[in-house]
Amino acid sequence: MGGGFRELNVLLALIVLCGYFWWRNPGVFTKPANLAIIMRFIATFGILGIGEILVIITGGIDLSVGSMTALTGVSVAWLILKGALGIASFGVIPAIIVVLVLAAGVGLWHGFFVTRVNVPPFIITLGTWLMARGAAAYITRGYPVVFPSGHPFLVLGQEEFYSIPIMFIVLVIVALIVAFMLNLTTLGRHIYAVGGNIEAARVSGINVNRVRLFCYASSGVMAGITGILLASRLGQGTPVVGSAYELWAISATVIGGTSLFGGEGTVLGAVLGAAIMGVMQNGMVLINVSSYLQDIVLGTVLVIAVVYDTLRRRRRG
Amino acid sequence: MARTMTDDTPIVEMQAIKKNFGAVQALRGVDLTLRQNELMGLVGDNAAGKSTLMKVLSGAYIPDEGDIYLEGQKAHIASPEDSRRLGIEMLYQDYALANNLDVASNVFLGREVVRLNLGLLKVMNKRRMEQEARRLMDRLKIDITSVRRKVENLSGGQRQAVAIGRATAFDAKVIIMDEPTAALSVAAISKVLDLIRELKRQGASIIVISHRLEDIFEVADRVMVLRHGRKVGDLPIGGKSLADVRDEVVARIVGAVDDFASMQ
Repeated sequence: MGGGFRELNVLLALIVLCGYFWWRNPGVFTKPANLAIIMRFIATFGILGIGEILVIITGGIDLSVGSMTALTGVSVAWLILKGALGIASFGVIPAIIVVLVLAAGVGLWHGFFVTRVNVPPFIITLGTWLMARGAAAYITRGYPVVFPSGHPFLVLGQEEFYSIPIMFIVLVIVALIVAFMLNLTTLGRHIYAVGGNIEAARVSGINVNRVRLFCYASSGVMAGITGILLASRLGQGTPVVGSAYELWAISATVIGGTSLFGGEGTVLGAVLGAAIMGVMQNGMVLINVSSYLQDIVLGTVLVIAVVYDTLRRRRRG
Repeated sequence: MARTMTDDTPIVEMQAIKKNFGAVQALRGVDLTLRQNELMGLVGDNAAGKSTLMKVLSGAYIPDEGDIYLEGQKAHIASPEDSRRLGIEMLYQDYALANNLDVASNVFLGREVVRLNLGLLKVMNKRRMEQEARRLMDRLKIDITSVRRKVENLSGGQRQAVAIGRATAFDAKVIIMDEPTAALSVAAISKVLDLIRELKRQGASIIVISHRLEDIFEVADRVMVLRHGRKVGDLPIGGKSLADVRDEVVARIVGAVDDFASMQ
């Protein structure tokens, strides 16, 4: 579906980058602690990116995911530590479930407006981009909701399993499930079909609105998972987390070969794109590149990826 | 009213079909008969009602008045799903295929072969779909190197062939084609016409809407002419020259001749 070739290119670029940074700073780059930092970065933007590709493949976009990580992070912390609806405190698992359902609901809200009211996805998710962050700050009056140290919720974001952060393991599980869905099931095929030719999909008997609703809901859930993991990682639910993360996630998917015109994109590409950005960002810190320059370099990589993709498309006609 | 089926029972019979869009009378009581294994051309000027009539048959439009019989049985067609279930396949002019998917995926789009049903998730049997798509391409002599090629990498003629093949993949009894040769090169047109003939040889009953009279002349047994939502001509083609057919058809398209004027 993604034609494997593109992912191979990105993988080669990733290997070259890793080799370069290892050569420049061998003492630190491959230290388990540093690798864990990179893996947490990949987990954050990989999970967001996986949600994003589902929407982008159908020809949409989801700009709400950064703010949604703040809203869901604040919500999960609030439910666990302060309770709601007359319940003094939710258990960790119930709180997570409630927050993921809430996140799916926000995604369905986007999907409803896109499919039934024909609002451009850009606009309806931009509304949530503002509203979700506003809601996160409103709930906490702007303060973070801080977990006491040693709270069991913190295992998700802070613990490691044989040097592999739990966050990264969550990413792997999510990636396997979504890749299975996209590549091997009828739902996945219909998602690509909707992005390739929505009219053809419709006259083929595919319920195109249901497919799109599913994608927006999934993107909401991915933002929810990420928000929960970040709250655990930071030890607090804070309304300022995840600023501009939607743009980082979208950049990662584009670097990984997703077409913003719809119809193309893979889970592997989204994860590899996140890995490229994570390794570059981390590596540049290790070799003392000015943080201003880092942004210029990452922006350049994004532009190169898009130009490469556009030229490839034009050649193909 | 149910009638007994005989060899000469038409496969499709539409009777006195009327369809209005607001004040516009798109169809003013059109009769259409398609016999078993017949290939009928449907022509007329723009807005004559050709596409509307075919959309009634394919369930995209519901007629205001009139009846449809399939093989002598009265048919209730209220949606594209209904007509497809009854064995009618409509091939749309522009949006037949998803270009980002491969040939096999397109052939089976919306009716994938499922290996394992997990509720929301239905695991596809990809190999089986590829094998059957390959067999279909071979049976219709469609020249595609691999059914795993993406449609966007195919030529216009190949795409149209895949679209036609797709319409026939599921034992369609009646195939409706809306301008199958529009926007194709001369070489591609001749291949598509070969394919249409091959479908007829294999037993399909076919209605072709086309602006190109020479295409209709080459493949059709009969041509029906619509004008302003009425049938104005229904002519056999066999044994005539292209020039004669063209003169007769054009005379009816422009309104100089109306075979059914007395029936208004």
